Amino acid sequence: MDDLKIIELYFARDEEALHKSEEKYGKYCKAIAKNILSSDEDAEEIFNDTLLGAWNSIPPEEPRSLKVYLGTLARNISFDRYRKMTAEKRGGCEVSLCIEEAEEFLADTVSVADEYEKREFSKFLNGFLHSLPGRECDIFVRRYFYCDSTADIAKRFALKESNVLVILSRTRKKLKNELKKGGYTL
Amino acid sequence: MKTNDFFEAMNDIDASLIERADNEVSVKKRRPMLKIAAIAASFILLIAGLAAVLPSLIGDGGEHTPGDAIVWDNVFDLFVPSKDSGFKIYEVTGLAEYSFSEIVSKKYEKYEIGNAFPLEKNDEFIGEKLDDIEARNGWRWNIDGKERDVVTVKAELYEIKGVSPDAAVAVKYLEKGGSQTTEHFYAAVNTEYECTTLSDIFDDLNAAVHMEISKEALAREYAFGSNVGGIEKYRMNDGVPADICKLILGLDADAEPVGRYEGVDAKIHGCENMLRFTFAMNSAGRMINMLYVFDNGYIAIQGIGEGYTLFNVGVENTDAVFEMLKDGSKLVTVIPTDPDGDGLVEETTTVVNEAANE
Repeated sequence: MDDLKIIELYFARDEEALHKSEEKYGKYCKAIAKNILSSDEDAEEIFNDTLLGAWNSIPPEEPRSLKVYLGTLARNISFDRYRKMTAEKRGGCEVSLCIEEAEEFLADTVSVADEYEKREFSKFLNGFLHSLPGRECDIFVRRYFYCDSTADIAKRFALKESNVLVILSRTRKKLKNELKKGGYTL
Repeated sequence: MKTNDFFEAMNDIDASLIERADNEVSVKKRRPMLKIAAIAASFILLIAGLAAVLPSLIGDGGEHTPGDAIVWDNVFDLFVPSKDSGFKIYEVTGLAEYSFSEIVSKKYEKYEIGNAFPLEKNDEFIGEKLDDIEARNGWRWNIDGKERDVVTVKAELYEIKGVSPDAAVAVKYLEKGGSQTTEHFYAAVNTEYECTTLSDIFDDLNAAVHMEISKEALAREYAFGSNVGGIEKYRMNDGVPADICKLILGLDADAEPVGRYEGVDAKIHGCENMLRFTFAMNSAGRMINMLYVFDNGYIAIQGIGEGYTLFNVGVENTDAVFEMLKDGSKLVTVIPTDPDGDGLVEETTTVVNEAANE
């Protein structure tokens, strides 16, 4: 069933929408959740919450890409769960490594406190990603959106893990420079 | 900015980027490996000559354990020179001779002898004597398997504390042969033993210092060098801690471990020539996977596991190596290019001084 039809089911408040969503994007969303939380059980729960989130938000939302919409929801809910779980203690899963890497290039940057600044920063980040060569961008997105391990990224792109590390390192360096140019550093 | 802000912003990136990154990718083929060339007899002299220089660089000249399998790799894992830098690589590939030891006593013939336990660990790990055996020791060339100075020596087998002798034992030689000492205990692992249980064997031995390396792989490394499949798991780790390099190489220099490549560009920046040594031995006759010599005083050793350790040995030493190799070996330049600007480098190899070797 194509996405439009599934979205129509959401609009019609037909619970079949949930079954079809699970059928089509369950694996995808659970993989994102598992990358962040390192647990099949949590990933399962996150996916249930994702479906609930979709059920409650469509309508009025009418996503252009159901896949990205559900994936983003799953990622958001997983991050919330991660923050709660690690309020006291961090470590152990892939996302903690991603966060450590981000901390490195975000050091000395200004805060983006209000909604306006956050939106502007999102635009800035989009601009930066679009400026990257295709594969560099994809690798960055795999790492910091999907929170894939570098080993998984290497496998996906048929690269050596060392190449992935180099590419990510260079991209972070580029981003750091762009943050500086964009006035995001202190 | 908080990391949360970054990860939240990542949530708002264009859907097209998220989708594209999730598409199946068709990948271009990585650069072809250079074929390891057959080597002229004169190259053997070169190796011998290099061994005379290397002691001051990477070893103590002491005796050592059998060599490792060769892993081909590329310096561009370390860094990518800019297109306009004029950076040249002198490619040196060849053969090497390593010391071997094989148990000939039938009961233990499936046991493969590997690395030595550090002497200071003997009391901690070596248990009761189990048996008397004989071993066949000597030197062997890696390509054609030709052997020399082969002797049969008497040896004793000991229990490794907490390890079933069905899985692994320790060998102590009573007579000299090959490069094995009569002081050390060498791990010997039963190649027919169920591998998955090996992960527990060296727990105590390794846990304290080698946290990053899977224990099973390290156990195998102790036992086999990189001769068996376990090394594949080892290689999945990022880099090799300095103490592993020291362990492998018998090295006790000021090492700068380069596991994640950060900072390597800066160290190597400014060098114009690099010598890439595929089959290299340290002063103790132990093979190491790759040796890179930069003309600014640095050498990088790629140990097992795709990690690098960078050593500052001084320009006078690296100059000496360059001088010697330029005089007596076949050199080629490898011109790195990055046509797609994506950080993956293609190599164009040109032999520049073939005539000098004929």
